[in-house]
Amino acid sequence: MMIAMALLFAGWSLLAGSQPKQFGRIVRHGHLSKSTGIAMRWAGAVLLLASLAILVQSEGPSFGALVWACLLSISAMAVALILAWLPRITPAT
Amino acid sequence: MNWLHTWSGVVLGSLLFAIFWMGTLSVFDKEIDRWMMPASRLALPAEFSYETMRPAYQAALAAKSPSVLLLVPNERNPVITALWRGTDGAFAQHMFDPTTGAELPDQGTLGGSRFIYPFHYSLNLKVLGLGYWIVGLCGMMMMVLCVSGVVIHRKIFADFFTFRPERKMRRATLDLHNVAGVLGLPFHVVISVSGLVILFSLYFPSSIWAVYRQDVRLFGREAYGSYVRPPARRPADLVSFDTIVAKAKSVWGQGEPNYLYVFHPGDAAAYVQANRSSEDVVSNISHMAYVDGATGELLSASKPEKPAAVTQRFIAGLHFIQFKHWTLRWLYFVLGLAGCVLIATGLLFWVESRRERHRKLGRSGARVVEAVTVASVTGVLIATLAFMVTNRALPLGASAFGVERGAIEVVGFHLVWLLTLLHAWSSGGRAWIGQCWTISALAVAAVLLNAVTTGDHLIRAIVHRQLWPVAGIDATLLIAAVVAACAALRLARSRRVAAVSLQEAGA
Repeated sequence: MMIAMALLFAGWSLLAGSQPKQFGRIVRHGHLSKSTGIAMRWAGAVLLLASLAILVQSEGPSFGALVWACLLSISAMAVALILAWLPRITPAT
Repeated sequence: MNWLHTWSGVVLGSLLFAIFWMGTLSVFDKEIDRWMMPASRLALPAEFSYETMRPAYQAALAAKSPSVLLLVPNERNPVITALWRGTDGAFAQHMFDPTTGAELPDQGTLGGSRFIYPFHYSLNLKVLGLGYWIVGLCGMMMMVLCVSGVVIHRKIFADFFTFRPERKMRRATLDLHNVAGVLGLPFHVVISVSGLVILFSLYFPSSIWAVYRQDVRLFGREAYGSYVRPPARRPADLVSFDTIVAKAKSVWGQGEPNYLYVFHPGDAAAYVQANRSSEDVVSNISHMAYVDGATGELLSASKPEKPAAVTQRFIAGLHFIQFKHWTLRWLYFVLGLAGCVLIATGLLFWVESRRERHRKLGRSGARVVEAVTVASVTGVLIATLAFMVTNRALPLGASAFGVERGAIEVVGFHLVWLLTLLHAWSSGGRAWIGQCWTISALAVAAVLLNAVTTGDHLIRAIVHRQLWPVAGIDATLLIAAVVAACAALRLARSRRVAAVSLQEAGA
């Protein structure tokens, strides 16, 4: 469960980071090249699906899918909230 | 589409918030029951004998009730709960000790499962079943809002993670509305659709009527395998409950029953409906077995359900969360809160984007909606907390003006809710700050009162397993108190900043 949560969180973070607007928030003055963006997007999607596989294996098909669907929403919200307050926490470089 | 989203949201948003809020609390309705009914904070016996339910059955027999529903104690509800019709014809709920079978003192409260939970699906409006229809309409509108919201959201992927709390109130509110809406969309859609599907027989009576005409019972028999027989009008004793359960289990194989429903108690034609608990599957499926009360023979058992019924029970199960899965229970709670945030920010955005314009034009629209929004968002939270505080402040058996304890709590809830509306109207824009502080104070008061009146303070509650529900509620209340205080401070600060900049502009 914890592993799946971590994977989901990492997956959404990668997907968020693949957007040029959000990338600029995470890495100051960073420039996101097109190929890196696509790679991050794929990696993020793979992580999201991997967490589904883990949950289905540990919780069974119906509970696993349900837990995954719920966690998918919650972890995405967590990423959005962290991104919102991140620039204030990390010192500007 | 924009127009549709805006106006259906403003008109029904307040009701939707109340329904979502009560639904979110209903996720933990049994835990709220434990909190509000201190006598029921009991440990389950290691070995439960179904014969422990005998005294509850005898009490119903003495009251000459035509039937009695006995709920088997479980982890979340560790008491034997019995429902029967009293001599005055009204249904009454009684609780019995799961170890000794002795009746527990009446707690004089409707608690979570008889006030908060019915509020979620019927608003407790019983006249003409109006509550169900209003909730049904809100469910339909929620789906309309979800669809139209997606359509009018122009940059759904570009703004997927965008939340800018540092921006102006209006922009930040819209961001939060989008984040809560888009990222929680699967939950919002599934929960509204499943809510409607549960009550399909009420909202689409023609679907049953078209096939079964007037014979609703035949529908029950065919769809869910129910069994009925008339009383024999000869007295007879009921066989042991353990025998009945053993017989029912011979049909299911594994699994314990979650309730035993005795029809015609004390009669030779008494029969018991035993229902297998569905806590290990998502689907709210019912496996019923009917056992003869006098002989202990099997009368009937539900056949495997047909695809339509299986689908309906699965969708209902998604909504009811009667399964045993604590992680999912908390996830539903969090997603329910996200739904509340979605609705509240939607209403707030409407007010924020019109306040100045309406003030200049001398229109009262924004002011009215703001007062209603405050009362329906922070107001319902305050009313719920007042309901809990009243519960702990009133002594057992209290009554005032001929109103019993349980009803006083309900009156208190509605009275406080009305007061929050008056306060919101009279204090205008400052109402949010005042009501946030009230939430914070009431939440702390509820935790303190619980500790004083029952002795189950947070530390004690964490140590004892049977008090975990109490610990969970106390901890959640304390977190709510902190969050509400932070919100109040933040609002007060931004108000000061706005006032200073206004003065500077004036000077």
